[in-house]
Amino acid sequence: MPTTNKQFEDLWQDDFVLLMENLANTDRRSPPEVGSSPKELIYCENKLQLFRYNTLDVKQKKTPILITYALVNRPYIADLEPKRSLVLRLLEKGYPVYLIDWGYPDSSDCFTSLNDYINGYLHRCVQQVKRDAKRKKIDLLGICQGGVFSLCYTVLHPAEIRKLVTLVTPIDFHTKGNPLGLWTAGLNTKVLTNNSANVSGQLISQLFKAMKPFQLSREKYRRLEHLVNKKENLDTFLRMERWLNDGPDLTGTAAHEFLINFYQQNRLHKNTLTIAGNAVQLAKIKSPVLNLYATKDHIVPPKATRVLSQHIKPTLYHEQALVGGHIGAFTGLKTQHDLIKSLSNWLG
Amino acid sequence: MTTDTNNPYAQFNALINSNLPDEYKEILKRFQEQGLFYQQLIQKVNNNESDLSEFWNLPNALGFDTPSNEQPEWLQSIFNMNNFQETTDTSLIQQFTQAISELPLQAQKNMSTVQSTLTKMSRLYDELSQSAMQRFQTLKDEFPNASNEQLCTFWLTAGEKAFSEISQTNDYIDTQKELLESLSELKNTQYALSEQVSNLFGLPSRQSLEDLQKGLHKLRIEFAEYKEQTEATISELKQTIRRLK
Repeated sequence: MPTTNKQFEDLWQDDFVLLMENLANTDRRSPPEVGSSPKELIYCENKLQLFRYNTLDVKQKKTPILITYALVNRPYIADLEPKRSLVLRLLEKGYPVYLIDWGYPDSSDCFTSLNDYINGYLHRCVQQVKRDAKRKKIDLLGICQGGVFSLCYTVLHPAEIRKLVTLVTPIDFHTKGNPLGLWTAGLNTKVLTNNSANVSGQLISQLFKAMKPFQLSREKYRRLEHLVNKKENLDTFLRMERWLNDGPDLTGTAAHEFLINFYQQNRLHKNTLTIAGNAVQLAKIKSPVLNLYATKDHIVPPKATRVLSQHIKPTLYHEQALVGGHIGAFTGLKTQHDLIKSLSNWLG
Repeated sequence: MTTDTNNPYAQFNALINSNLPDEYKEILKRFQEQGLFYQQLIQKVNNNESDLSEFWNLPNALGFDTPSNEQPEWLQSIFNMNNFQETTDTSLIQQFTQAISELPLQAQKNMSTVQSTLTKMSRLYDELSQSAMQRFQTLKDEFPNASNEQLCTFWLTAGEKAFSEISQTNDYIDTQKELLESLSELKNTQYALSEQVSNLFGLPSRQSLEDLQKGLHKLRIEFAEYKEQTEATISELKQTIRRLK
């Protein structure tokens, strides 16, 4: 805090004053809403909630899409705000859209394993979607770690999935120059767990920030001008800030298993992964796969995801580059157009 | 609002003490903190100060140099590691002795190991700051008439490049690993100690709590599977009835 006898002089003082006035405006008493596309809760289990989004007045496709996001962040990033909502774009094309919200684990969830997530929660959600949509198969759209879960699920339950989409999904965790891979080698997650025996969401958030520490911790707070010049820019910024600081804890067991099997042993790419004793070999996938990757992704670099082509039969595999970063690939205004075009052409 | 809008400081304070949503207060504080940072950076650069290394202090950038919620609770509950420094008046050993004189020897050894790896990390952070500062100086020399905006961009470029280089060296990775391993050892010692204390006071041990958690978890999964089977059966029966009709 500045001392009282020192004037608050700054490069961007005028902009900061505007920001303060903006936030203090009586119209802004409550922060902008996130995940606001209307939806209905159709299933819940422990902390998990499964939502079906309300359809729009367009001709409906038959096969529903189930969106599976990562455990490390909240899934409303897929519906952050109307202009940037992947969910809304899909609804506009007539796709019935469902989404899994994993919820916020607490200490009673610390023994939830990857098997529980994939063969338990995800499997039961797929059954719920099938019954609700009255279909025998569904399309699965996995984002980041959600894509990893979706791949594993499709290997283990081939009859359930018509088509699989993976978005910014890591396959090879040992690509050269991947700092997360280097830092987690030999790490024991037990040192990271808190009193709830889970891994704190704040710690995970710090870990991701540490990949580009100066840019992600300081730079965005310097660039004020574009925020104060346009209300919608500030709204978007506030929504993103909320999302970035809203990371749930990771259950201790699943975090430990993911670290060992994926980051340390790279078992998915090496075809040595097993879940509850069942081999997860990506070559066994019989459904068509569309792999969408972001060209400027520093968390899941293109190399880490495009290796999926080495595992899936060529006749089944299709990939598409999206210009943007890890999150910008599906929230960026320009990229969404390309993303939806690719999705709707491929899904049918 | 009746605050003096010509005085941003007063306005800031007024907002922080107002009924503004906490989320906004946090955001304003973050902006204010970073604004001060850049102000100091530009001032020192324009004053041609030679040592700018503090501006690439990694723990400071990530918020690690003050007690924070990101540290595991068990670490905070022992004492704040970041407050221990080697000084000429009081040696580390004396500081340790004061703080942990009642803890068993093993824990003292663990803490000592943690502290020495923290010291190693500090040295690496210093290297990072120096490297970033040199890169910054090179950029500044190339563009002597750089605007403040450009200086800030140089700051970012210098910092990220220096970090990218140092964070992938074996030294950095090994030291980080050593730190986390030493923290793990300390945690194991703490676990053993807490089991002893629980026994002494007749409290549920960590093991018994774990057993409860496992049991609850197993029960939840079994119930969910049972519920799913029931729903699937009901759904099939309904379809059969519809067909028969």
